[in-house]
Amino acid sequence: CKDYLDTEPYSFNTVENLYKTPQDAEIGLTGCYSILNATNVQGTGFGESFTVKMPIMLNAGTDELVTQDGFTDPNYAPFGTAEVSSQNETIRNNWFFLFAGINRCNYLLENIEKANVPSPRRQEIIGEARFLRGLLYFYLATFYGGVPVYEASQQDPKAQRSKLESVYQLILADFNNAYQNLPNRAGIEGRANKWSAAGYLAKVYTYLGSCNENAVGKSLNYPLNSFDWVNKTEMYANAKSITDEIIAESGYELTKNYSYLFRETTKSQLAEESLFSIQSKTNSANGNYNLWLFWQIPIGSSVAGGGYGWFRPTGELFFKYNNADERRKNNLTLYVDPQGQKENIEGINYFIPLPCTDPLNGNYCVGKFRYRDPISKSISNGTAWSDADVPLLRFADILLLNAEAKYYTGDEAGARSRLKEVRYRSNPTAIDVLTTAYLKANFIDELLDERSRELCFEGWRRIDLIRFGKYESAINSLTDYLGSWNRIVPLLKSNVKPYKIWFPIPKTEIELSPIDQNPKY
Amino acid sequence: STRAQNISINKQNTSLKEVFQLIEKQTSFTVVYDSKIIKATKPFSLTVKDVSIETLLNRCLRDLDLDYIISMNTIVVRRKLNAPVPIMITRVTGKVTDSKGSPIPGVSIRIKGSNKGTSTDMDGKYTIDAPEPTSILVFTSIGYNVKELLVGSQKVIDVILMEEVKSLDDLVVIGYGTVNKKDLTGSVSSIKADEISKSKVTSFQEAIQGKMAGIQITSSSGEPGAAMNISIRGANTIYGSTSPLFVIDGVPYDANANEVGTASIGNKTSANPLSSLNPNDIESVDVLKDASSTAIYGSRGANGVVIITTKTGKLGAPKIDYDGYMSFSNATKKLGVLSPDEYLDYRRIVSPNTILFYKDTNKDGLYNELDEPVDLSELEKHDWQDETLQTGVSQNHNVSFSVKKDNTSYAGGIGYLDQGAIVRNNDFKRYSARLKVDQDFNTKLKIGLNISLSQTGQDGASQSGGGDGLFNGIVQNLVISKPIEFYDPLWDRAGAYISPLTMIDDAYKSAATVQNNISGYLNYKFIPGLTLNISGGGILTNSKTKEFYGKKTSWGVGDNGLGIIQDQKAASIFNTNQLTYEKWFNKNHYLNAMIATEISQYTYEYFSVQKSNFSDESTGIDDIAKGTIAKGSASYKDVNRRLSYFGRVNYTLLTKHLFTGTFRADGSDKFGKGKRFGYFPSFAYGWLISEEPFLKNSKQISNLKLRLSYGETGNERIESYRYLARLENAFYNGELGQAPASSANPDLKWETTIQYNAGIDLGLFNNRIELTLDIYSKQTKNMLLPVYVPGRTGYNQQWQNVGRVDNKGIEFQINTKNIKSKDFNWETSFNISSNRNEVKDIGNIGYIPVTMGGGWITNVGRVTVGQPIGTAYGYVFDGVYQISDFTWDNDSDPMIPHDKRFYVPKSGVVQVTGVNVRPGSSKFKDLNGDGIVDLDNDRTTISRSTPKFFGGLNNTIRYKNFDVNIFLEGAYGNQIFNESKYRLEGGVSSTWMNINKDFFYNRWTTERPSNTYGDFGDLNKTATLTSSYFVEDASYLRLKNVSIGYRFSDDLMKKIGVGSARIYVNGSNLHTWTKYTGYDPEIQSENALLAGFDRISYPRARVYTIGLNVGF
Repeated sequence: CKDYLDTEPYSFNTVENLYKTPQDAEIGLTGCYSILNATNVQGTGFGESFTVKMPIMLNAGTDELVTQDGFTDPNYAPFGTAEVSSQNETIRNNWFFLFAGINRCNYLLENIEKANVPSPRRQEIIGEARFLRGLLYFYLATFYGGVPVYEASQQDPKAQRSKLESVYQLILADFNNAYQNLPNRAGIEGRANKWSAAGYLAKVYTYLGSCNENAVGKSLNYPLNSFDWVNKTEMYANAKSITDEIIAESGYELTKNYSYLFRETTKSQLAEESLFSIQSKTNSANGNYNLWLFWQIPIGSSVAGGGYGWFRPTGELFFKYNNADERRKNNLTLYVDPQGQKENIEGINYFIPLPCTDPLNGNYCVGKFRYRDPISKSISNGTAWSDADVPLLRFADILLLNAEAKYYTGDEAGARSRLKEVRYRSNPTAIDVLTTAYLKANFIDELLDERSRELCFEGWRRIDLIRFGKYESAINSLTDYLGSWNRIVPLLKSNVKPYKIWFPIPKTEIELSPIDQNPKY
Repeated sequence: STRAQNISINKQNTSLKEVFQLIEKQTSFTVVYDSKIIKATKPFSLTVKDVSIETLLNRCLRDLDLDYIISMNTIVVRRKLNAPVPIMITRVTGKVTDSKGSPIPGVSIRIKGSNKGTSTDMDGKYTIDAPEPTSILVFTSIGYNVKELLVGSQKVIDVILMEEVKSLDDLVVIGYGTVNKKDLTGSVSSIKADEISKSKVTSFQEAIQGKMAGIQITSSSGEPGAAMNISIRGANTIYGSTSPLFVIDGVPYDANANEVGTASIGNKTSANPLSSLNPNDIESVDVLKDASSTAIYGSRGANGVVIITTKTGKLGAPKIDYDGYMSFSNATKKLGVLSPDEYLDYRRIVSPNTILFYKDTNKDGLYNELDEPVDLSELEKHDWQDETLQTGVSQNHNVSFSVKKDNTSYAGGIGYLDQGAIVRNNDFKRYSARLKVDQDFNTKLKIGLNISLSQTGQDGASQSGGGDGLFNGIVQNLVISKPIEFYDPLWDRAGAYISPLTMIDDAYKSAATVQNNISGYLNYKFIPGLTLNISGGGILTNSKTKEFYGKKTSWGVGDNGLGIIQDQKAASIFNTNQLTYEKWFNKNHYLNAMIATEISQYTYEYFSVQKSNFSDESTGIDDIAKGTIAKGSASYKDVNRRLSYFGRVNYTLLTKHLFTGTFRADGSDKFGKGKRFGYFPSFAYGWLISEEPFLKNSKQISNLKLRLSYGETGNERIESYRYLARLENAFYNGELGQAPASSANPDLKWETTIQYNAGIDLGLFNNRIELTLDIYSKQTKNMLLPVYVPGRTGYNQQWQNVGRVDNKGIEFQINTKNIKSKDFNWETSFNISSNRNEVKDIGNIGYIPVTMGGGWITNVGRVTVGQPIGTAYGYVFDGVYQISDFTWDNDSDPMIPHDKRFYVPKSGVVQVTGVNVRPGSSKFKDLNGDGIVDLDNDRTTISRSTPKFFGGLNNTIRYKNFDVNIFLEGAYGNQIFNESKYRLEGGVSSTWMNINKDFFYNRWTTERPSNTYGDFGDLNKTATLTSSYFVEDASYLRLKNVSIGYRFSDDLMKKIGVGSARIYVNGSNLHTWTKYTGYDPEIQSENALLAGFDRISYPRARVYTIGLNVGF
């Protein structure tokens, strides 16, 4: 009877038993990647990763996207009206998700030696894990400012926030390690490669450079989140050289059809342009999926691949485009009708949303991403979930970052020609019209508009507005009448304050183990 | 019970006669024998010391042709049955009367040990032939104590039968033993078979609902086979199950709703795993409430223990009974939604320029006056509740038998139930069979075997709503679906108009569950008083659920047909070895001691597969190969073991001071080494004050007992292996990954509940009035909680022992025999209980959020320190914003129409963060007075799920051959968060949903500015926030059962060869008095942390039954 109670679990393994073979190392690494579009982690949360909530955190409450008036779900709505409190569940879970991912990477990095992985795969696995750790820290730092820096899996529950400088030291070291150790293209489809790391290095350099240039957060007098330590000249130089290298050597390019970057099934076209995408696969019954349902697809019936429209575009975004710009037709639409027209893209049917000609039409919505006719989807609850790959970092963005770096290193002409290059892909015939129409004397103003036109709803607007010091001014320039959803703008305006460039540290985190809150929360 | 009375003899050259005299001298036994049969025996020598009567007699009679039987305090020595016996028939006559001298007809008289018998006539007279003077006559009659008499030389034996003083001498099952109610020290409520069979219900939980103090039973909905929640003295814990332990014929069983299949998509309404029990088979239900009673179950006793005993073969003539009924049920309520014409009026107000009213003839993309109007008279109109709610027809047949003959008894039966539900295409079926056999092999060895098998099937109503799942269940649809057939391309998500009828008819769900309860025992008496009992067995459940959702249902349309098969298997097996010793030391000291070991194992396995894209739906789920897309699969297995040692000592001093002590050590593999064993002691003291000299002769007080108890019990009903550092599956891009899911906690251990109980039992006027009052206080400590840890560690929660929940309460029960005469009997029982639950500590965090996924209002509740479990948390509704609260464009130009105004609240008017409030929006109290209602500062506890009081009132009246039962049951002070109100008040702007009639005519409008109802939900932007607006009083009083029966006279029946017959009619749920506006105030949401939450649950059925009992 003595060992009657010495039983072992059947349906899960324990932590000590992982990392015994090279195969285990791959399984552990996949576990690190899975945080990118985890729906829940440890049974908690609902998509506080890139799946559902991070795209909202990164896009909503800007001059592009606001909460649909009357939509009040406290886990979502406050992001589009800039009233995120420290008690917000999304914030709480997002903070936890990102640290859970960091813990997974640290756990792998600690135990990889035990798994006897032969070279060079061993260095690659380390590089990929460090890339992911850098990526997660980058988003943590842009959301919350200085955060605790962990390089070991036994993460100290009492660790205090480090200065942004220390956080970025780790981020840069991680990305650089990946940049040096990863191959040109990964052996496993969709995994990070040298250029994914290079691209994120460019992101970090431009982010730091511009935050210093524009004295971001300086008025808050909060040293922990200060950018004073940044050498912007060095950052812009680094940004230029790395984007130059990507453009010259990576082999990535602007794919021919802009729309195919945002269709569920055109993965090969996306792979031509995207340096790093969130992956999802059709044939995985227990898969990890992306969810565009809530706002990224045109509203309408689920059988036509329609969504909910919880967040809506501003009228100003509509008017940022010239009528000739093909990108607007893709990005801003009306609803999809199950009895309406379909288009066939490489053998797959998609419903075509009704075109938007007037943002004051009540159904004006984000139409950038599209679900296919769900009848042929083989994933559970396929009218809600998607097996699409989602671009995090596109070659078009690299061109625009290169333009920015060129501008700050004294080459405005070169910078302007990059903008043209980006516009040209979608509008080869109307390029001259657009060049004239979009021209702004202040290059940065034109660059920011172009970034919005090209990259709207792709997770960069909030970061861009903040790093160029335009978070408040861009929102305050919105009207309450230009689009049918602008009626919520007064509310957004009344909530926008300088300190909101940082999200609050979750209240529960402070309760559980005291840690410094961001100013004014 | 055999009171051990031992004897010592040391005699040379003695005779049987002398030995018998010594026995009579040393003990209270009388020895009866025919002197002729011992004449021939030779003298012998005998030396015994302190042996039992049996040992002595066995020794003396061993080599003789004699044996003996012991009846009451009489030892009868007689010839061995198989020995050649000279026939000495004696004809005995006599009269049987009651204590008042009235003759009792129909008394059964039997010769003990044979099947010869007769019964008394109308005058109580009888005649019987006794085979020999040592024959014993056994007199039995319902309602009277059994009497046994030795014939001897008597020719006329008149007998007085004493009325059974039933409740006091009833045996109470206390777990690993029984005790006379008189000797009980703990707090136990019991219900016997006749009470259970009175209410013609399909599950035993319904049969005991409202009848026992301190035990609250709520069904999750009115659906047949729906889960029943039993809460004994409040919820002890936050995350572990709060369900009591069930012990069915000695087999311990944690009712796990996962054992029975349910719909796998949308709303999961869990099923009742105990619905497989046929209430007809149950002899008694005993509920152990205080810790002195439950501590013997140690780690499993914290939530109370429900002991179910099935019927055993009974003394008397072999009996066969048939009970059958037919019943008709309909919905107790219909919800008031708009008629088709009213619905069109509503749509015309909300959105006149839509495809519902205009064809886009000019192709401008707009639907307005420029287009041709739609001919509304051509629309198909419906009242979905009328079309889908129906009269459910049910039938139930049970045949049972009971035999006890010599040393063998057996009982069993078969049952068939076909319960038609009130919702179309929904039914519940049960086939059950059981057999219980007990055999005495000799005076030492007894064995028994008990087998009960059942199959239940629950078909249809796959997603009945009411829980916390998606708001698209069948029942929800039949209320909210628009009453016209009209396809709205923008909002009909299915892409076509799908009516509640096709949702029902094209969806198939069948959950078939087979449950076997098999157990056996071996009972061996070493010496009188010392008994070994070895028992073992198990409950094995296998449930298979098949679902198919066709293209014309909203669940199958997106998948082009969806098929799902699930399979659940569970096995609770156990073995108990128990040694009991019982002894009277002298007439002042009685000791009963028991020690035991027990091992048990619970195994649970789950498997499911889902496929979609069925080009051919004709074979549905029965040929899943036709689905071309594999959508999902899952499997899971968990095994969980326990190892226990326990014991109990009962000591009685001077027959009035009763002491009970128990101790149990339980080991569970749910915890790590060194933390596996938990120790659970209990003590109780009972003082039979009425046995004291000063009360013994009281005319008024027939029984008075004081009970005090203390005990500790445990709970470990959390998922297995929470102490380990687990890995979780973390897929990426279709590949398997693994990630740390928890940090280990090797210190994880039992959750402990300490309970104090004080009770008084009072019987007045020969127990014509019996009262029981109990007060208790429970503290659950070291609660097993998934405690939040700082998120920066990379972990969300860790299972720890923290926190505390307290329950305090009072229970009162009174039973009275109001009228008691030959022809007219009236008995009343009433009980009322109150429990106060309070969360005292939940670790290092302020609250635990309670969310209800799937609807519009999801962030609904909180577990907060200082509040009971089950509270909603939100804003306090404070009327409706009026136009006078606002200014608008052009200096509030009244010429601007209301819907074009850009309203700005006047200063001083409370605003709501995140919302542009307008006239007609719900207003909330600004609790911190800062002028803005916000999530952080202005929410509070707004509802409680548990009642302040609950109870029941039962009246049983017997007049001549008629019997009447009237039962009322109710709860007071509980509240329901009625989330469906949001949709039924126009929360969704689409044409999909119908709305509440009452709201439609009384809502806020510019002309009729109501302060109780707001504007239509989609115009009332604050309506979707969690507020007390949705909280309703769910107190209710229900006329739960009324039955009238007629028993045919035995004479008449005898003529047609039937023992007895009774016909009855019965009505259930005849009326409910409540203010609650949903279908029914008795609900239990899936989430135990907010039981009072409703998204339109399955309506309750009013049932009319007509039935027949026949005994042979």
